Amino acid sequence: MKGIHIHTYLRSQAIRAFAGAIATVLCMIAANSCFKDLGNYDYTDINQAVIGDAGFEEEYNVRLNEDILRIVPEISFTLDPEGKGDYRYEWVAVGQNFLRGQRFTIGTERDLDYPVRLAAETYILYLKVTDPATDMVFSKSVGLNVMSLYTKGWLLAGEDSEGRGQIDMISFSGTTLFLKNALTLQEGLQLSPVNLVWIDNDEYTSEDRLYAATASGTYKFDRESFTGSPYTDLKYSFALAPDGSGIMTDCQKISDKRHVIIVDGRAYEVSSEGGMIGNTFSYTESGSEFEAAPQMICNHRQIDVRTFGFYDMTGRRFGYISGMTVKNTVMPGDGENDLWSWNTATEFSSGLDFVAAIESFFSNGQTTVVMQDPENGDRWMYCITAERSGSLSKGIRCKADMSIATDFDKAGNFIITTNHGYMLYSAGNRLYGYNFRKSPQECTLLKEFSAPVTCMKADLVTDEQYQDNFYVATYDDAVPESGVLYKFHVTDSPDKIGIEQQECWEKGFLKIHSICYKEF
Amino acid sequence: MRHRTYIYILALAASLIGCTSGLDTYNGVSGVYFAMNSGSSYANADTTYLESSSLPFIITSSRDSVFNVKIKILGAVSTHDRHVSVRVAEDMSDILPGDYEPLQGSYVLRAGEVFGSIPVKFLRTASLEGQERTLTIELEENSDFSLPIRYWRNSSTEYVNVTRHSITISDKYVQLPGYSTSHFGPFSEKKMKILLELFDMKLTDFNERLPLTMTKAMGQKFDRWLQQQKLKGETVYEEDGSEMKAGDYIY
Repeated sequence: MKGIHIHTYLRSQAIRAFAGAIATVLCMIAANSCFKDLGNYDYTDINQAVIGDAGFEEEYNVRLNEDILRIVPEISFTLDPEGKGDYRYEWVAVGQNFLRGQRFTIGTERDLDYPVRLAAETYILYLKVTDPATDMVFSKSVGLNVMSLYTKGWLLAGEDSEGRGQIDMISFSGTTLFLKNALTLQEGLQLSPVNLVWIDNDEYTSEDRLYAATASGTYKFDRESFTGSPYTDLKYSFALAPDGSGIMTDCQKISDKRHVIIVDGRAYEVSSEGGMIGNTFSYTESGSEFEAAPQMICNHRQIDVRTFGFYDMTGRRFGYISGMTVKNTVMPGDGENDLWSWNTATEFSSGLDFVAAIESFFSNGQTTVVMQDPENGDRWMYCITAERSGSLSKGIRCKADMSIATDFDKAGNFIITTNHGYMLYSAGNRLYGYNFRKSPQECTLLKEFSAPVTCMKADLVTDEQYQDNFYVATYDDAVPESGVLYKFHVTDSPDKIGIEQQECWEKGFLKIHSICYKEF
Repeated sequence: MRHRTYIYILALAASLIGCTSGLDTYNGVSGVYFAMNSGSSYANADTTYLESSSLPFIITSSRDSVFNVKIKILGAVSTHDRHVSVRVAEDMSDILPGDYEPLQGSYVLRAGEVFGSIPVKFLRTASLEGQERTLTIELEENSDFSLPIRYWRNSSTEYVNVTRHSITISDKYVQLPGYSTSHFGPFSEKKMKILLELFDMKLTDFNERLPLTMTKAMGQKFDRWLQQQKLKGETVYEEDGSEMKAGDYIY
């Protein structure tokens, strides 16, 4: 019986499989029956254009209104060795950033000979070869970077000999150029000395994001044309215009994660929604508004750090913001074993005054905050890191030994070196190197300039950002247009602070108060 | 296995049906319906419709206003003018006779046109102050047009009647597009008046959507103001006695 069951089972399985196969074939026939057989099965070779690598191997960097872009392509045709066909050629540049997706035909001849008139932008340049006999198109592409005079370089903001605010520039658009009075002031705009310049180097949000802050207000300028007017006052960027002059004292943006600005002693987030600025978060948890110190603690060394620190000038303590959304400034408490307190009023009878916050790449992005005791003039260095984990962390705190740190009480410009965390500061014509982390502390006169130092800037932005380079600007008030910019490389070791001068640009610059780098 | 056989049969039938070539051209009746767009993007600009609209006199600041109810035809366009008939749906209207000018019996749809409109003139009467009233009009079949579509499918869950349309006129504060419930909380006339005073704005400023950063900032400031009032012992209440609150998403 068992054998019969198996036999019957196998037979039914075979019938089902056969029926299934028949049905499948029927479906295929039915589906295929819809197609009309045109009967053209004659295959012929098609003439193909083969564009060689020559001229397409490396991207082009050209200057707007300066350079001529010449490319002589090597093209062969598989069925037309002499290339005598009536081929069509088209050179098309396709924008990648501001002009994303827009096409510009810059040549229709085989060889490209194009005086560059394209807007400053990153393009992909295509050569398209069309065979009219078949309408087949063959193409090859190469990168094309068009730079204007203002595309890339150091912005040097300050004042001319008449005290008018302006910006000069060292442009690296192809060759090094020295540009004067780069700002175009429209509609009667006049600037007092520019004390702080900031530019957005995020290609997605950078439109109109060149901020120039003066003692009487802050103005936004078009990032490419450098034009601004009274109508581009930063005050118009506030969702709800606050009282005050709108004087920006610090502006920091960490990738596309957080953009924070301090204006009139209040800190704000700048939104990606057209650069509109919301309400200040310079409030404590209890809802008390406080005056924020003019500079903030931030971290450009770690990746995507949303944590920013602030000094509450009212309550004399440090606070921070972090996370995705911000309601107010968090005032952290101290740990039992902490060597110093976030609240300076607990250790100093009047609390400490704020002097400067110096961002750096040292120790994974530590900021050194210089403070001063109003009671006796003592200066203190608080080393604080804005952590990616969402809080501030304490580093060392040192009191400046004024008997060693010469003229430290007169210091106006500071940077922290990347490798060993030494402080470099200027006082008058002199540049000092100061190791405040060592006991006893050490201070070295590194250089004496022919004119007072007006600005110092560590390079934490360019391709050389990890090479411990920095810039120093000097100006002789007695000589108009006597601004000079020096570039130095730090050659420090655990035991010695050293610098090496790499450049000295005596190009008659402004009296420079602020420096920032324009990346594109 | 039996299911598989059915699937094969269905597939075979579908394949054979798929071979049919050519489509019949339209030869049905001429129809008309209300085509008040509800879509906001290009993709759905004329594919989803509303069955009600509002006309708030408080933002127009005018004594009268003509509201055009858009219509659209079904079927071929005509080489001659045709008439569209409408009447007031009395059972769905509470409007007063003096609130609008009486409808015509019919309105002309010009030759060659696919879209037309029914203009209704509303008047801002004294009795409307603080009130809202609704006029519902409905299409009628006539010798030129029938009403082949009564319900329009906006989505799989939403159908709207496109043979009638309600217009609510008002002379009181209404929630406008610029009012963000997420940032300001549920709408009320009292809250709206506070917002206008707090931010020194006009009602017309809310006619369009405001930037998110702005409404968020306003919501935060409004919330802070409410808290301050509460701390002063002057808690702000809605007309129904509940405590006034800002939106839930201000931070």
